[in-house]
Amino acid sequence: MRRLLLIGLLLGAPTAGRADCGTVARADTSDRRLDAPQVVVRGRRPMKEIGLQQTRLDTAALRSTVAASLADVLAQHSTLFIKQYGRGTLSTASFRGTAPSHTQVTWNGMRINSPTLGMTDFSTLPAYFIDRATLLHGSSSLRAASGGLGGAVVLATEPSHAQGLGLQYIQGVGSFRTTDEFARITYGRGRWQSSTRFSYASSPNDYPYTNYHKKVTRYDEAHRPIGSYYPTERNRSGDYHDLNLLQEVWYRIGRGDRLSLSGWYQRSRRGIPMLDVDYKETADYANRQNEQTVRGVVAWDRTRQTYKLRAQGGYAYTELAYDYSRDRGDGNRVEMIRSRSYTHTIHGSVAGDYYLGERWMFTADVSLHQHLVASRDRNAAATASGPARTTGYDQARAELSGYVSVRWQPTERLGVAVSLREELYGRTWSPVIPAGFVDLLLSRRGAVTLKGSVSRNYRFPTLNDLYFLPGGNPDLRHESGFTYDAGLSFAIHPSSGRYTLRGEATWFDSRIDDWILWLPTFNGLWTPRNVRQVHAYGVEVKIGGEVRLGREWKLGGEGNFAWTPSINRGDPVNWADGSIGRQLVYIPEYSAAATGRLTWRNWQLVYQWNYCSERYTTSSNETATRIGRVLPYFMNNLSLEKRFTPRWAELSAKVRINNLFDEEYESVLSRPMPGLNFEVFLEIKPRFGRGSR
Amino acid sequence: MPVAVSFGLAGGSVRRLCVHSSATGPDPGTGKAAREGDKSEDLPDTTNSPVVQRLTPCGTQGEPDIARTFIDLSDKRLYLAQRFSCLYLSLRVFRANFLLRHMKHPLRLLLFGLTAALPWLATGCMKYGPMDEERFGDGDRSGHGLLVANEGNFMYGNASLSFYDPATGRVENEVFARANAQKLGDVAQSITVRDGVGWVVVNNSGVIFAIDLYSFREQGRITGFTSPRYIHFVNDRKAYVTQIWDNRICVVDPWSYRITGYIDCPGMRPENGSTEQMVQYGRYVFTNCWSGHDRLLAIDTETDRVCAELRVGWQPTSLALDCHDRLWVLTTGREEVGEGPALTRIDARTRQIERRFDLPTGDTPTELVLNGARDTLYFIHNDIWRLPVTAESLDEAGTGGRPFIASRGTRYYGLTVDPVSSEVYVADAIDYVQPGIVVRHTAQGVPVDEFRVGITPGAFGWRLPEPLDTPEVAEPNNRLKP
Repeated sequence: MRRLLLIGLLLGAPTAGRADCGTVARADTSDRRLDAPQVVVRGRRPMKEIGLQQTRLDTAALRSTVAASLADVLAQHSTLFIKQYGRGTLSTASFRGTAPSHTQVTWNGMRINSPTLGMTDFSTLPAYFIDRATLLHGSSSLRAASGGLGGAVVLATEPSHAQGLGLQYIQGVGSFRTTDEFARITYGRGRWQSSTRFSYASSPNDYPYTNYHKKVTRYDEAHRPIGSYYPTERNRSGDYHDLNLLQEVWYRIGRGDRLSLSGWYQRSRRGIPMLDVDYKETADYANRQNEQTVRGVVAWDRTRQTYKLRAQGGYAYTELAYDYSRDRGDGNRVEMIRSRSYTHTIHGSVAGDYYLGERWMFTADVSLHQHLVASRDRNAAATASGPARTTGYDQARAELSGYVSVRWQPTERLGVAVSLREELYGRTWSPVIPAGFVDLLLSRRGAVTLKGSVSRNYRFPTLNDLYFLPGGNPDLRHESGFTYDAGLSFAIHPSSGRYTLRGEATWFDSRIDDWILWLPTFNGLWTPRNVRQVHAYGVEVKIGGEVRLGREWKLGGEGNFAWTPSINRGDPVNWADGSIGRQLVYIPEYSAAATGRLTWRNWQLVYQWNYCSERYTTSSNETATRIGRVLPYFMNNLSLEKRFTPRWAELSAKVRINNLFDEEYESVLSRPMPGLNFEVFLEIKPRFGRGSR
Repeated sequence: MPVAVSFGLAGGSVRRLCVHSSATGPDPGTGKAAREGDKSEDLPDTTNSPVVQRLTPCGTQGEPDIARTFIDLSDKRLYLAQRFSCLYLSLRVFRANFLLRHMKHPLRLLLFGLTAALPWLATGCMKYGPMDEERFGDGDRSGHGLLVANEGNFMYGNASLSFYDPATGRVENEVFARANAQKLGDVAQSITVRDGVGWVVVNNSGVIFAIDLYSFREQGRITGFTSPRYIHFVNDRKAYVTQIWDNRICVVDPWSYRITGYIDCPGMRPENGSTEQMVQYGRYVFTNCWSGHDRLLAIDTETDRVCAELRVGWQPTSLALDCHDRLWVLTTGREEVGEGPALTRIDARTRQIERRFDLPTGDTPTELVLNGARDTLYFIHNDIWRLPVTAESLDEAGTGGRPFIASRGTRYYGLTVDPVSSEVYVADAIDYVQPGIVVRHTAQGVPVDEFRVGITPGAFGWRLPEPLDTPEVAEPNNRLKP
């Protein structure tokens, strides 16, 4: 029997298939109503999503521009706050006011957070390499992984389902000598599907800016000042060269069974930009970060009427290198810091869903991630005058995770779910991680639904927290969080089809204890301790809609808003500590984004607006300072695209303007950002005879 | 497109006059009440000192401007009129919008609201631009005061300078930024005072600023370093600058603000090079090799070469020269080889170790400073300890073996002693991510005042009344944390 995709289609998210580690379609009953010439499909909401707070990033968001990384997409289309140090630099997430290590990220069912750092750099994930991205907020993240005290981001790739050969090539050229190339070759024949994706993004990134933090003074012969000005400088050492290659193969065994293989190779070479208050000569210094990553997942899926199974194995290898060196000009290249980290991860998991009648659903999964880490730092300062000694650690840790959940839909309007997760990290068991979900359809008109969830979650310390030399603390306890949230959602899609409107508002409240913080100790070394207590609460609002204006015009928009106070409720360090009851550093209290899309025939105009409130750089939230404020951020981007459809291909030309009003600003202290900049993209998808889609 | 017109026009007209008022918030000077926040960021702040608002086009560069004439256009009405004119424009445009005919009522309102709001939302006009300059000093070149160098956070670029007047108890924060309309840099490591000029070494920015101690205006800067730590003046035309990550000490000419040469330090490679504080005895300058080393070096200032090495304990953190020409060194020790922290006394003339005082384990001793007469030592070892230079045993430290100033359950980061009054100032960085606090004590160790300074206060310099401001007196109190 054909399974039909429901809410996703009606709510505007085009492909609403897999949203978690492994299970495929929805096992729901459905009604079909035929209304020629259209087919209207209606059905119940999926049992898998009872009480879930989730945000699905649709294709329009993921394919807005080939130059965008997942960081850009998340910043614009979700309530996640992304802290970015600039173009092509580290981008970390803060989900509901928590730390970057509190956001768990999985790719095709395998966890990809670094086991040493505990976080993911979203700027290394190109948006065109992800076909489906789902954010699971708060308690809902337990479906994917534990440790997501803020939430989880679930990424997946999918086959294109087209037969024959397909080719797509996009070339982008932009300001500051930026180039972006993307190519995709797909081939489908019978039961086989293959897809190869390649991307290369490169830029010297030496944008000019006025440096208001340095003044150049001109002097006369007697060294008396005769004038001063703020110099125009260029961003130094901020170049990036990122290469990505993704090869995937799918084979439909038949009767709903499928084998899939995905292999992803990433190589990224980046410079760490210099501060605008750095007076050193750039040409002499090299401040570089190079990373190579290989990830692969092999999976077997079985889908039947009453159950689904998935078994998968995976492997990931990451090599991270950081070098800080100086050319002294006298033939000496001095290596001040040389840091290497090698991580192997072996992964396996088995997951299953079982549907009992129309009201019950049972899920279970077990997954294993075995990490092997070698971390090396050439610690030149640790020896007197002998050869430089390398310090570091070699550690292995197995992370075993088991998950069971029961979902029950006693009536058509009410859904209840309970889940339990248990983790074993090395030899330490976590306490049982429970979660409860409920949702209630208040009104069929408008699909007004009330959702609520509550959970207790734990996050284990990272390998660097435990074993880093110097300073690692093997006695650290896991962080724990207690979260509950409640929300209301609606979706309006009148039968005229003229417009759709959807929205969701969620209130959440989270208390995180034993938050790990690195603090200096008596001998000047920094060491992590379980000290912090944070109360992270607030409201997340999403709204979106499309309207048809006449036969050829379509206007669509979406917006999101988050209020995320994240308050330090720990013990004061001493009597003068002004940080208790204050917002955490670099987490804004308010953030919002809106996207507007206007389409006319083959033209499309997209306008993006982004805002976040002041980010404090001190734990006591000082605002009476001239040198330490990162003020509220407003950003506007515009893009215009035209599609051409000659017989032999689909072509598209796009112009994208970033920072439309040429604002001067900083997102992080002492790192000015580029002004107005643009990029032009040309896309070509040749049609190969009958193989066209 | 009607929509595009409305925000394009609005954007253009408002953008033409963008208020650079990022630094015109309340005065950060009065450290005791450092919480006034400028929350009203939408409207220009007109409550300012002599230098007024600057209205310039957003995104234009600064130009060479000698005469700083600004337009005093603190006109809120103009600003508001611009905003409302955009709204009015949107209204006019929207009413003529042919798209209206195709929409239902609620959507029409939504679209109208969006278009009208766009001029506000789109042209946020982020406040980022030049700071305003302030005048300090007003020509009065007398006055005793304390300068505090606040390191800031590594890679944040928020180092700052604070000034405290002991006579009035008033503190001014961020004086360098306010006087010069530029940032001090990243990690202000030390201050050395000479002839009414403070030389601030900004370690991670690789620059040393010469600052007039009354107006706080920059007089010059020296660049070209790897990672400078301290500066010591041999004479008016020669100074030494120690560094980390470099096995050379720089020789600079303070008059022309240039590096003129290097002193190669034996027994270290560039990667683990470390030289720290300096004291001068006759024609020799002694320096401690701190990070990863266990030596003092003696430099002949006539030849600019290292002429001797002294082996002391592991990681000497600070150095002082007392009135009897004895060198004192604090070392941290190394637990794994059974060496504990210690205070060592060396005869500067013979360069022989005379006495070694073993300190209790459990902390790292730092911040060895002397009083004005150079006959009493003070240092931090969990608590604040005081020891006369003639002491032969640690029992004479503090008061009957108890600390001079007991720790209040916190970790002290900086220490200095007023050369005139012998009052003791102790700096506390709290959690290192917020403005620190300095507590002033009498010469007997009784706290009498406390004031907020910048982030991570670690180094001090004294501005002394003119007759007392000579190198021999000024320098011993600038012994600071590695």
